[in-house]
Amino acid sequence: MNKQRFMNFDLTTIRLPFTSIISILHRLSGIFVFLLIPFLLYIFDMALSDSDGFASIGAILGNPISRISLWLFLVALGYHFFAGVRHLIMDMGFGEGLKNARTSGAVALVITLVWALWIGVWLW
Amino acid sequence: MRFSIYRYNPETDAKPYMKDYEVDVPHDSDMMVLQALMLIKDQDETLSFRASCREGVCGSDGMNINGLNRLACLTPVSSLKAPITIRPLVNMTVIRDLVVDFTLFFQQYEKVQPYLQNHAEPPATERLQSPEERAALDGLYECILCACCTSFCPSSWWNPEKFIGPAGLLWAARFLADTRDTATEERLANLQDPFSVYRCRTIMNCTVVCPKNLNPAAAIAGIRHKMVEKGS
Ligand code: SF4
Ligand code: SF4
Ligand code: FES
Repeated sequence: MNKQRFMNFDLTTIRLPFTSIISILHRLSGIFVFLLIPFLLYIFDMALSDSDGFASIGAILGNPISRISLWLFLVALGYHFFAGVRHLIMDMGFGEGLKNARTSGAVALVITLVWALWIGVWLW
Repeated sequence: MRFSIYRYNPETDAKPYMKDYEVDVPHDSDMMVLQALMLIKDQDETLSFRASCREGVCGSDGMNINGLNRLACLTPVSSLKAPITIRPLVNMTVIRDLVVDFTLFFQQYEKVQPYLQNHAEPPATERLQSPEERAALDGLYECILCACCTSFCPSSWWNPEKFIGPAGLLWAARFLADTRDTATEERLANLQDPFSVYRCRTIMNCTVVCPKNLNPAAAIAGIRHKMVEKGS
């Protein structure tokens, strides 16, 4: 008799429903935004220090990597915000059915996409 | 059609493994996965699984079929892509093959005191409800306790003991909604801690998989509304 206990818990064998992807992205974007905050504060601090500092921001943002990071930051922030609003609306008792939850999740994604494009155009 | 099935017999196996079987399924057949499992059991009688009613009433044959928790008896083989992978319900201790241990699941159910409480003198006949009051129970009372939802809930994976889980909470909502039940305050007070209800993040995995098309996520939101209304 094998005394060891087993559970079926292998995330690679589980199909993720759309609503859970929406939720996971919400968390990931939150973590991502949180991690990038020091970087932004640093830039912000530099901008406020003096005119030299302000000028060097242009140089930093001229660097494609930092520009892409800023873009990613704003996209993640946007998604986190839109998905958050979706949650608030649901918490007020609207759109709690599965269909509505799927639709509102898709809407949050589409708005984020538009937002991402808009930010992209603005940054470049 | 090929079936790949999770096998584990604690008496003989060191650990679980997947085993393949072939079942003849005519292409216009309306065979359910449960029937296919029975045909497989004809080939290999060591295969263990639970089932009873064969029609989605008893809640015995919840299992993970192609990545989603569902009832084998309500899942048509024709709706699935081959090879069909069948594993036990997620995150529950395997007793043997597809049979899992429901102890914790039923403890969570017990926690919400799933029975009517009313200490007033019973009337001579039954306690009456208006049709509207009765309708408030629709979508709450039909749960067959199959555990498809709780076993698929990420919050239950991370806090299996402290978070009650969608099935138990659906039952809590069912008695909170019952006009004949007078224990509303106590019930809400019981769920007040940060884990029992508030671990739910409205991921809706529960609602996606419920074979009775119930919406535990909305029921849980309803409980939260009641808590807020009570100002507690
Ligand atoms: S709510 Fe649905 S999935 Fe959950 S135990 Fe009840 S019937 Fe099964
Ligand atoms: S909505 Fe709540 S109860 Fe349902 S699966 Fe998600 S976390 Fe679990
Ligand atoms: S056998 Fe009873 S619910 Fe499937």
